[in-house]
Amino acid sequence: MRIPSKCKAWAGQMDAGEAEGKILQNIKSDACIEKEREEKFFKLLIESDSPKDAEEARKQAINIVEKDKEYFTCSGDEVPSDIFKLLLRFQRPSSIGHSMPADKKEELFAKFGITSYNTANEEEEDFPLEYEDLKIITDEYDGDVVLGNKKSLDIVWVADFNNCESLLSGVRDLLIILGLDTLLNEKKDMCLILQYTRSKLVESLHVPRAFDGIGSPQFQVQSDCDAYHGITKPLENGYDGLPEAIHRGCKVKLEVFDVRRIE
Amino acid sequence: MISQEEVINNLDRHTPEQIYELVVSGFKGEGFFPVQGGWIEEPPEDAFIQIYRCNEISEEIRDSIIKGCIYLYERVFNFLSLSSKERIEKKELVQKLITLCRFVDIAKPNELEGQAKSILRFALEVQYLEPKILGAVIRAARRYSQSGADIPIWEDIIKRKNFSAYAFQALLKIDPYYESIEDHLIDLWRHQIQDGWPINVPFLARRMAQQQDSNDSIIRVLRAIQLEDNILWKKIRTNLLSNTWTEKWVESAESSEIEKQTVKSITDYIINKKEMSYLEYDDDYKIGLHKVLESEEIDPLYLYIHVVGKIDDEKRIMVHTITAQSPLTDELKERTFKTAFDENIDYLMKSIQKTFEEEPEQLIWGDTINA
Repeated sequence: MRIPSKCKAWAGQMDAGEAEGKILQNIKSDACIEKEREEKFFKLLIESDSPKDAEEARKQAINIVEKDKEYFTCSGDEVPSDIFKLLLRFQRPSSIGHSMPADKKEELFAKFGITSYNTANEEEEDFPLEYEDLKIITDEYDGDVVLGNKKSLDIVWVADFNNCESLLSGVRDLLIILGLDTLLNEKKDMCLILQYTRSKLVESLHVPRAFDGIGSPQFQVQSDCDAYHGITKPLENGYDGLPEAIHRGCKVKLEVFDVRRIE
Repeated sequence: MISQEEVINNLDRHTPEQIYELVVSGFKGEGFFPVQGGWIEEPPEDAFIQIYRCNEISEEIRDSIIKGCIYLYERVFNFLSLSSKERIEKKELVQKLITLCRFVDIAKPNELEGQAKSILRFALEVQYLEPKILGAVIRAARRYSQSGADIPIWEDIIKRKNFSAYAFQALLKIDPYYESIEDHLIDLWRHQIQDGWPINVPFLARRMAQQQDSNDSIIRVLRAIQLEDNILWKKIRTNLLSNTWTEKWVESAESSEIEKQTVKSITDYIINKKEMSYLEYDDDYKIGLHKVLESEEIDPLYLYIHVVGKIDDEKRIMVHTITAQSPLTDELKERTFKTAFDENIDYLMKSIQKTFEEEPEQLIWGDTINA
């Protein structure tokens, strides 16, 4: 996308920030977004006040996409059906409660006599749940898992299991390659692993584009408009990244819902 | 949970008055914080949790959150006073109450301890209160430090099938060695297996062991269940053997050391059986009795019953060992003492009682020892 001259102040602020600079680079590199979407995005950006810093510039961009997420996101080509047959995703342990439908979550947590606190708390030490506890909880859970967050962009990022399988023995390395720094910074040193077959997914799988990654500096947009998938930007140099795709938030029955140690 | 830094960076867009309004409106914080890719799953109230936890926020902001919560709590008291039908009609307030409880559950503001505990006491008195409301209130109140004075509340809640696991964990938190904790675990196991209560007792047992830093309590509980209700034990046993993390409990409960423990339990069983009222005992007798048992070797071909006699004039404890050869000796040879005992406890007890009453000379009596 070409940045209109009226948005140069905004682009200048974005360029000044480390994460924002990467997001701006994605926007610039993406020549595959429909003209209509592109024009609407920049029109709304022009209507915004001049941002005072990189953070504000990023918020403006996110707000535009967030307010009309149905229009701006998941607009990339559909990923061919013969790849990404098994989807892989990692989440924070604290998201375990949010990953289950409310009624199922209450039922499950009541069974164990634990509260949201036990899973969400990462700083205080008060009867915390350990790795084995979480493993028992995930083993017991057999319902649908809620993916995405309706209240924000509601995009679900997934990796292709086939490309990750050989790396699963070293979860830390895989998280680095997938650019998941938030999980690496978890004090619990563990993460949830979610696997589900694409055929079970009611939502279509898309190649992520720049608007999908508007809040995600770890994503590197594919400049090739015929690309079959997106690509991650690893946290450390020396890696090529891994194929990534997106779909809208939904409920899905998983093949694997487990806890892994980050070692 | 969303990072504190991300939320605090967004705070400058809001005045304390706006924060108060956001809390009162049910922690409506959409758009409060930036989205990081697709990886943040948490609901908006988590932003308020992080704000409240941050040491660097101004007192005005913190106060506005607490004032908003207190206002919501006042509305909750009024709400709980309504009839069941009226409560159902106020769906929006139900959601606000649940969100408020989640905030308290995680942020645990000291200023709200009184409200959280008061609302729980109040809620327990409300008839036909919707389980999701009571559950939210229980979870929030449980977050605060509990003391012995709170035990009656949790003893009440442990009898409610949907919340008994919360109560067990709360009692564990008050005192992992609480005197009735093992009895509660036995009751919960019975309720889970026989009444279909939605609880995971092995998980609770494991939490107890974690807190006590020992599996001894679990093993004692399982042995007590074996003695009291063999049908229940078989179901629990099957359940425990299906998990790698619980099968070792079965091994311990059925290990070669079991006989000595079992004899102790048999003795307690007899002593506690009301129909054998001719046995006189008190705690001193039990202590003496256990001293004897600890020094004995157990022969699995015989059923040893220890009967406590009376204290004589010289203040000695009369401990008699009855060695009753079971009519089922041949079967006992084929199987373990424990298994045979489990399957024939009623028959054996009746047999011994009958012999005791009609042919006491058939029983082999042990020595009297000094206490």
